[in-house]
Amino acid sequence: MSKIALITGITGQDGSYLAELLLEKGYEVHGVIRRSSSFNTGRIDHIYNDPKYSGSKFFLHYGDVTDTSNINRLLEKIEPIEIYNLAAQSHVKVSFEVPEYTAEVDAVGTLRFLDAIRETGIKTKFYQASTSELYGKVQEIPQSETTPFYPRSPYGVAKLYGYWIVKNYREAYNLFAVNGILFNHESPRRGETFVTRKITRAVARIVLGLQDKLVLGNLDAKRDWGYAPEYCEGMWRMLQHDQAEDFLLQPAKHIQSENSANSPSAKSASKSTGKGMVLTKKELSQRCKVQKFFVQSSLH
Amino acid sequence: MQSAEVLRSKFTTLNQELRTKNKELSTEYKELINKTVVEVSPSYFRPTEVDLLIGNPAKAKEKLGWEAKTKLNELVRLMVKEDFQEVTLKWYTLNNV
Repeated sequence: MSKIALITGITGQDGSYLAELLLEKGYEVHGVIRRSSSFNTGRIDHIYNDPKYSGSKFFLHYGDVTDTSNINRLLEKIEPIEIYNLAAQSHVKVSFEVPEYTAEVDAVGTLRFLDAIRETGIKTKFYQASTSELYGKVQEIPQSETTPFYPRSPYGVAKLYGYWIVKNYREAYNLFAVNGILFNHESPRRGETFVTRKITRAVARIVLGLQDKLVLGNLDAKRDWGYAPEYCEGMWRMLQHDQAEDFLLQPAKHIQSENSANSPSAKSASKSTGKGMVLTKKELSQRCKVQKFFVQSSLH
Repeated sequence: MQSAEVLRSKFTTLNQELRTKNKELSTEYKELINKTVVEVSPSYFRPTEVDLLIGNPAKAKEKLGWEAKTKLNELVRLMVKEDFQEVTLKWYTLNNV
């Protein structure tokens, strides 16, 4: 059987790294892109323009996980042996503004794919991009594959449906469908509205004198951050595993990755006044070696 | 030369300049040290927050042989380096240097 993979969300951070990985492994890769009046393929243009892949190994199709007939047609036409469902409204804060759309894409979009697999009867394996946001208000520390979920955003709640429908279809219809519960993973291709990229971009702009300051939200949040291409390798391994099982991916040792601008006074000021607060460069350099590291590393 | 090549060569020049100016820039940084660079705005707060996420990846290691390799410091270095180059190139393009 020829190695054909279908990736939704291919224009995103993970989709683009996964496409590179699968092409290197000899797959024929098909990606689903949404029509937009502005360019949205910046992360995969280098693949599309590579004569090694273009037209023979790498294909893009217009589509949308909110369009059932489109998904059915794509599956019938492409007949992938592996499907990676990375398409999502993936921004937690934005999900509070567009909760219904988030559910339509992240929850029902997953169901549409699973139903399309059943209806077309194609033999395939399905990877679902689940998320550490499922744990939300954490019920135990550290979290594992058996920790109960408690999502805290419309994004998390929509992904919770995605998680369970994958599990249910696996058990009910014997589909090879798995959830990858991935903790935060970053890269230079991370969207600029996500906190890590927002910080690194701001550091570059501040050092170059193009921006005055960096404005952040909740500094109490703690996360572990990994490197996205390694997580994409993990997705692939889940589909090569002999059994369909859910897996959690994150760095093995907990690295203290508290937000680099965090400080007790920042917390108390933002909480007590509700108006936020400011830090000076002096305070930052005293409290936060990471910031110094940012500046130094960008100059070397 | 293609425009991309022009930009690349300009960036290389800038990079060299930056290396030589490293000490001066460090001084500038010290002078700017009292300027506010990080601000917290409640407009970014969420109605319900997720304060702490720490997972145990033991199962993935045992059954998939998967392990995260890149450490946070390396990741930060990688991202800042890339952003610094991108922002510089954009600036050069916008200013027709």
